[in-house]
Amino acid sequence: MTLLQVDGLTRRFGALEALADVSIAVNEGEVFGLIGPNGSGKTTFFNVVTGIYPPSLGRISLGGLDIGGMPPHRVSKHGLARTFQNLRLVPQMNVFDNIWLAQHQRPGMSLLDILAIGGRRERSRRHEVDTLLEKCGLADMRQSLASDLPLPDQRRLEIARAMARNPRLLLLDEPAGGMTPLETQDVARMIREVAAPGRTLIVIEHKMDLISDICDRAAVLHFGAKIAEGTPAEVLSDPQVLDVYLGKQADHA
Amino acid sequence: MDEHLVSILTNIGGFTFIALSAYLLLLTGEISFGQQAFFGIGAYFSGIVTAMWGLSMWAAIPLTMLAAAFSAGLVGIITIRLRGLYFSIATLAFAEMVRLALVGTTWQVKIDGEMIGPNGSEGLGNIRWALDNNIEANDFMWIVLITLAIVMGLFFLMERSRLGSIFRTIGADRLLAETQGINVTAYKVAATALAGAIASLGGIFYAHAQTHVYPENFDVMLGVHSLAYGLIGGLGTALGPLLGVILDIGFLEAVEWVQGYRMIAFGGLVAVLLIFMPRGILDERRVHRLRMAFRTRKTEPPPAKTHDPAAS
Amino acid sequence: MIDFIQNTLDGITIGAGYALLAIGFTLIFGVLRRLNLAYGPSIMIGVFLGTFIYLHFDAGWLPVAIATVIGAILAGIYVERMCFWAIKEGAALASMVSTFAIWMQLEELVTVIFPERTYKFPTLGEMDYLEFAGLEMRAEHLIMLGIAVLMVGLLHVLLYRTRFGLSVRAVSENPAAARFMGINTGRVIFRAFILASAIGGVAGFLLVATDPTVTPKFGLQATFKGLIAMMLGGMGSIPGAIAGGVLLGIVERHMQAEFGAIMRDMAAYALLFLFLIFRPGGIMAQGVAAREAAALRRV
Repeated sequence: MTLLQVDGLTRRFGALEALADVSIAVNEGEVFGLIGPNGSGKTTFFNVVTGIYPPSLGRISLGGLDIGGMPPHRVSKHGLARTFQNLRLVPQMNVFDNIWLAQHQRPGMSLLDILAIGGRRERSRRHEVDTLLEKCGLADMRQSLASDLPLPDQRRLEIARAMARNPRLLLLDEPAGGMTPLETQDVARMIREVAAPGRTLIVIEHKMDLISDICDRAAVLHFGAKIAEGTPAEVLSDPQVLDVYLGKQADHA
Repeated sequence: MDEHLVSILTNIGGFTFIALSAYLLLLTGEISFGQQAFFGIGAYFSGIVTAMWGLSMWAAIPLTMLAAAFSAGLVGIITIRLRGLYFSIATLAFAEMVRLALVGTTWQVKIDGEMIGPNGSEGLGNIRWALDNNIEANDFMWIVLITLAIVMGLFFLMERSRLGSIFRTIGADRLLAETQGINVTAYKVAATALAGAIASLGGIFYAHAQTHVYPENFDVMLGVHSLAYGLIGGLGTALGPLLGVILDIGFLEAVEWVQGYRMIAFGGLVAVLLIFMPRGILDERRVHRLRMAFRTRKTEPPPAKTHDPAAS
Repeated sequence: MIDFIQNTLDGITIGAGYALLAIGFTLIFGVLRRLNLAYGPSIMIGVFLGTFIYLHFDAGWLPVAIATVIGAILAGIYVERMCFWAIKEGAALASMVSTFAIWMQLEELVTVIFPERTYKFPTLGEMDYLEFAGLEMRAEHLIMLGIAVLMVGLLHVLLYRTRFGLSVRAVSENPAAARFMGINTGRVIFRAFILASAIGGVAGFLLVATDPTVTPKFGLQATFKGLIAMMLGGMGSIPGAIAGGVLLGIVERHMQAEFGAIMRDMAAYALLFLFLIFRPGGIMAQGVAAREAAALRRV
């Protein structure tokens, strides 16, 4: 069953077409990879889907509900959570509070719950945060300020925070960005074992081994247009994709 | 208690309310240059309620706070699209309009042979509720300080609840707050209204302690001072604004030879302090450290020779 | 009708002074993205230095003008070092509150040294009214207008024809990129501050010389007039600052003539408030393109 259905999505910034007629369907329970060179429109895709920018054209529906053009806080309420490529933690709050805050506005939360500082339900929610910290290997840093964590832990904290919202669809923007191969393996395990079960994921990543490792399917964006879609193996052997990536490597040399 | 000390403590109480109101908005990331407007509205409105309508201050407090919250909420809605400096300047413009409107307003009625009511730049006098009810300066001070303690207590509770974290998240990163499902617009309007009500509380006490207020009491200097209090004392806890007020008023009073040169010394001191502590003395990091130190001490078995009164 | 034109004319000349203040504000805001509340008070230091040499050495208007500019620059350097250079990036709020603290300091310093309420300031000399088609204009107003236009011309040359101007524009546009290109942003900011203070000094001299009483409230007035004019025109835009200053001058003059001083100030703030709500980009806002660019910068 399709969870996220994107049809003919276009987003322009002045004369620049950051997304050009992109159509993607992501099935329930799937881990979907989004790849492409820098500036190919991947993050813009996330920004439009999460409501940060309204689409210029096209439809976005989440489980049959049209979410195109909704403000971010409403999109988020319909069960969508994301992480950010350039890390957006609240630096002056500790690890626990960063996650605890994210439980805000889950279904069933009332104004009273927002003001609560005790009570049975609040205690169980706090316990949930601790369980999540445990699962994500962040329990030791529970009380540390978010800004004091090393980068890999900050990335994991972002993923844990997104999960605290119990989203139906989780968007991860370069979860292994700036990490060493070993740290990348770590985060891959966390995504596979903690984030993916029972959830639908879209992952932006440059590291192809990570994509092949965790994704069921993937799509490739290039200059805002989708140029390939399929299993990671299919996509990575697509001649057009190879051309884009080899071309990029040649530029770097 | 010494009369002078009583008036100092009453003043510290009154100004801490407006400092807290500016602090609340600072938490949500907004710099308001206009909290003096709600302090002024509080002073005038409550003064009218007690001096002209003859009601007690206890009735004036909820009425005034409602009126201030309503007008502040309205300003919040009108300025909702403005961010950063634009919001600051808009609040400044609003506050100056309020002050000038007070200068331009004369509305007096004859009560017991005396003309009572706002009288342009002559201000509003005869706010004699405390005198008429034989409430001495000492008692009035306690009214102010106990109210302050209640409000501070509510602030601490708020900061422990999700509401406090929501405000801080909005202040740290508005876009993140939105993607976390926080309706930033609604929370900002709520914070503005709440801040207006808190500032008005300061105005109520100020008016009833002074018995006479003038529009010039509510000029931009008061607004910027109230901002500065939070930033000097620290943005990590509601104790910060209180500390800022105590430092300013206490410093002025404690060091008498500074009297004429107060701001030369204090202004320089603040500027130097901000170089080393850009988010104030009790900033988030220091508050966090203090809390951690307190917590580890609490969980460790208490050493043999503690003099904890609660334990004995 | 003739009154209307007369008031407009007077408004434009006062507005020219406001425009200079707004230009100084905008220059500093452009390179720093922070607000300098102590801008007016640092100009006030210059004005009082001018008064001092006028009263003690009976100096003519030219030495007084030079002293005013020098005083404004020295105070400006003090503000820049204390509130901007010393406070690290990312602490814009601390910078702003710090400028306020310095403002309080400068204001009290002046009241301690000059305890009278008002002081005299030299005029540009006894001059006749110039009359033309029933309109009259004070000659010193005409001089003020001329100097303001001259200053704007010089500033244009400085910003668009010199290497210094190029680096100021680069830092205003994108400080990170400017630094990457090898521009010493700290030095550019320092020099822009001196430039802004000098412009402010000239504006201060002209405003006080045409209305020759000096009070410690001048700092507050200069800050707010400059700030309002800058916001009306749109932050960071020099043509905007000029338009904003002139608009403010005209509106103030008409309101003063019709309804008196309270309504004059009220109108200035109401105008500012309405502009912020309905046209926050100011008179010179560029509509859709600018908004799209801002949207791009959000993430």
